[in-house]
Amino acid sequence: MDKIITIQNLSKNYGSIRALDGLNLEVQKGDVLGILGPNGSGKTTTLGIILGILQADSGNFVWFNDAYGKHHRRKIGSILETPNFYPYLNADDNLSIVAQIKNIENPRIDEALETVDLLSRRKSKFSTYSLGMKQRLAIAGAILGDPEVLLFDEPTNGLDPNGIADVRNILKRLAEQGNTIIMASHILDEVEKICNKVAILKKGKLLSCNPIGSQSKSNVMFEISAIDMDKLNKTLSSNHHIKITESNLTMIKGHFVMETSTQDFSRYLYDSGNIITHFNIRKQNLEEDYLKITSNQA
Amino acid sequence: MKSIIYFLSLEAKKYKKNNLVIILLTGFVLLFCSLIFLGKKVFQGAPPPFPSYKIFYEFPTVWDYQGVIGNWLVSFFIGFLVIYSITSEIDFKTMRQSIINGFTRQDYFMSKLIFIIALSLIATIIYTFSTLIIGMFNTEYPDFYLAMDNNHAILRFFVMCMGYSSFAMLVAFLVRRGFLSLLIYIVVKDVFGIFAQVSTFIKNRNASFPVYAA
Repeated sequence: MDKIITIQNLSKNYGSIRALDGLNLEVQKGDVLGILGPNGSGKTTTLGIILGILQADSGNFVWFNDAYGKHHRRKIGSILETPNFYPYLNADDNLSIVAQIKNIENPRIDEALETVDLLSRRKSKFSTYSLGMKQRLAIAGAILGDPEVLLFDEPTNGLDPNGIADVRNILKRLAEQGNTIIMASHILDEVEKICNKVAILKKGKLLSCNPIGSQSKSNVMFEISAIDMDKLNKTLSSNHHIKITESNLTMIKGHFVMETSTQDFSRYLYDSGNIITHFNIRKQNLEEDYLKITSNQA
Repeated sequence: MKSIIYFLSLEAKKYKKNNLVIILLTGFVLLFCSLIFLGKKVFQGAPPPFPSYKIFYEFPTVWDYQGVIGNWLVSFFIGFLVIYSITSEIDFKTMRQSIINGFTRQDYFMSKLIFIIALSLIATIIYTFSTLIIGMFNTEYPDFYLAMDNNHAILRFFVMCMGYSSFAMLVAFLVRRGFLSLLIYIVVKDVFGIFAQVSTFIKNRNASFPVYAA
């Protein structure tokens, strides 16, 4: 597989604060990598360094096996922090400036604008855009010229629910089209929905970097409530296939010790005379993994 | 050559729809072609030892007086434009974005350097043509040699433009804030200007009519 970037032993201090502490990371073509971490864990610092905005104190990184020389950033589409454009120019003009800087011969501006659903506002000045539209234009700028990798830093930061949904859908579509994406975020849900790999950062250190879902032995969790909670509790406690982790007056939470199909489980409950009012089954999600991994290393 | 056109067209894309830049450039051109005619009010009906205002418009002295006006206009209009073009990009974070989008720092600096050279060339061309036209119509017997007897005024004008705009660029890159850069630029330029005038005056104390042009 083609290497997109190799990061070796990257460190960076801000005064006495260690923002990055010997970070090693490798991204292959086709990866959709989410970089997770609490605020101040070094996500933006990492992206800033590999985009040439910040200088690392030690360590190094190599883009695309050094195939493009000093203009390698032209092959990267990225958004770092806020969308930066000329406020007095419209979307078309702004994107054509981006295309010129990236040295794209025939920029498909229409296509990029269509992807982010901004065709109808292409002639409006950037300064009249809402934050969500600005962010979408930034995505259009990033995907211009089919870059080899897309880099997003907290792409939904500061957006309203509609904006978040729009941006997430765009990112999801880009990921499904087979683009290589590196995305920093502190929103677990977002990473879980879009990425296929997740790197967890804390205090500048990489705690783990694995495909999503493999962090722990994927436990199947359930939440259940019934009209007669006492009876339900009794039925469940006597079953050795399951383990109750939390039980209160309105809901019982637990997980399956052995693999059981939902159908069998619900038939079993019905046969034992429980009338179920709420039943939810899910795999242990990233949030639980994330909390486990970050709290272990505190 | 290809990269000069590349950088110039990039700057043109940035500023062709910018009102401030358009106003500064049109103001510069209009004032540059007309301001010298204020001179008609000077020396009007003055007794013989004083020269008539005609020397403002005749070859070869028109080169000097148009140069004085150009000096003032370039220091303001072109200087402000250069400061705006850099500090606004810092303010909009588009300078940073240019790096993220693929420019090296050298590329970015080159784009601005070529921009100020182009501005200086444009200003020099306007100077040359406005002076030639004014001189042509106001000299009694204009001829080519008289018109070109200007002590390298065109070259001096270009050097002056580069001086102002590169100093403006330096201040803008160092100070980074628009208004503060402007203030520092004006103060430093005027202090140097006064210093230069005084030293010229001392040198030319014995000259009957010192000219501090361009």
